[in-house]
Amino acid sequence: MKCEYCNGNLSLEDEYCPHCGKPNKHARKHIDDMRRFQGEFEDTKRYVRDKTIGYTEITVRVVILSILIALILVFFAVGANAWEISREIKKKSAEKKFEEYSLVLDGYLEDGDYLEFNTFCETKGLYTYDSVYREKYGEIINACTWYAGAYEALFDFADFDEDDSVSYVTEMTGDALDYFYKYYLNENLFYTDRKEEPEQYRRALDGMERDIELILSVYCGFTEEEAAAFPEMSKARRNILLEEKLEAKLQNGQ
Amino acid sequence: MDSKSGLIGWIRNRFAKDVHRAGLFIMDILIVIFCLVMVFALWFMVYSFLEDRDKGYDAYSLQISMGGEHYQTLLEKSNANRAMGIGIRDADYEEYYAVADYFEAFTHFYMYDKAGDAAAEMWQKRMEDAESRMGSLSGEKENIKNWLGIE
Repeated sequence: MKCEYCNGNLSLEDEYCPHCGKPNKHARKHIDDMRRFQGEFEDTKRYVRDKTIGYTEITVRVVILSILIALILVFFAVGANAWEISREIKKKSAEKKFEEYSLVLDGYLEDGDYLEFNTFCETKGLYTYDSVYREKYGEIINACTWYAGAYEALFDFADFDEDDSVSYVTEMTGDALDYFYKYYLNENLFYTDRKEEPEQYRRALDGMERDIELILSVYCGFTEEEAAAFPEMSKARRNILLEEKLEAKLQNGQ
Repeated sequence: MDSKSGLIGWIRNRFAKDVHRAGLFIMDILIVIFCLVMVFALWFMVYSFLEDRDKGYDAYSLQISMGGEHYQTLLEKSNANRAMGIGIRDADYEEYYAVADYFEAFTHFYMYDKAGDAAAEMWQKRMEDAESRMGSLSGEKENIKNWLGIE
């Protein structure tokens, strides 16, 4: 650009003409503009930084809160379903050990040790539905559950004394026997149907029934004929016999 | 930058900062509260799993069952413990397990023997094996027979 007084060459930053020394009006305006722009730039920068920090502070807290809420929900949900989760883990583990456990279970069946069979199944989580054990042991696992209940009830019956309630012991023993006999007589089907009954099932069920019959006759005071007739009796008839036996024990002071 | 100019802008900015700080303060409090809730939830989860796991029965529980002559319960507890691997090769437990085994084997032996069933032989062997492991509790043999009313 040119000086308006001496027509000498000027740059935009020259406040005064280097040739004639007169003031350069354009430079003045330029410097004022630059100062104003600089100030506005600094203000904008500060505003953006403050806003960014503000949003960052909020964002960080929102993220932390979201994570905490998610963790709380997960912990409560897992805790509330701990039983199902533990059961599922146990079931998966049992399925992996099918061969190993089958050997143990077959051993118990061979020995006629149905109590240990039952406890093993309960402890290892061998379930009869939706499980690899269903096909081979489903019915026996169910039957053993009722057998174990009947076994315990019958020895409680055998251990009856004057401190026990006749009606309570009769009811407990009668119920336990009824559950077992219904299963034994094919009336109480649960998870598996018994259209084709493998020989192993019948052998085990007959073994359990034989045990119950012997416990009734040897330890509970029934005659062999009475004990042999128990499976075919109605529940009411069984309960009458059980009650009579307990009443007789009380009268004899046993 | 209109909001920064003039009294109204200044007031708006001033309160915006207070609202912002108040919001952050509330969120900080919520974080502290949720941290506490999370610790509780974590404890609840761990406790639920510990409660649901199979803990088995301790030696005192076995002793109570045996002392109360609940031999069938002792047998059930012993079987459950062994299936869980509890007390194996532990003298505190082994003798109770032997008593439980003796009870099971004796009751089976006796009834099969009376019925003339060949299974009696197998149960007799198991009874003798249990007998040899009963140690200081071998006196329970007589108690079991008395409890069953067998001379």
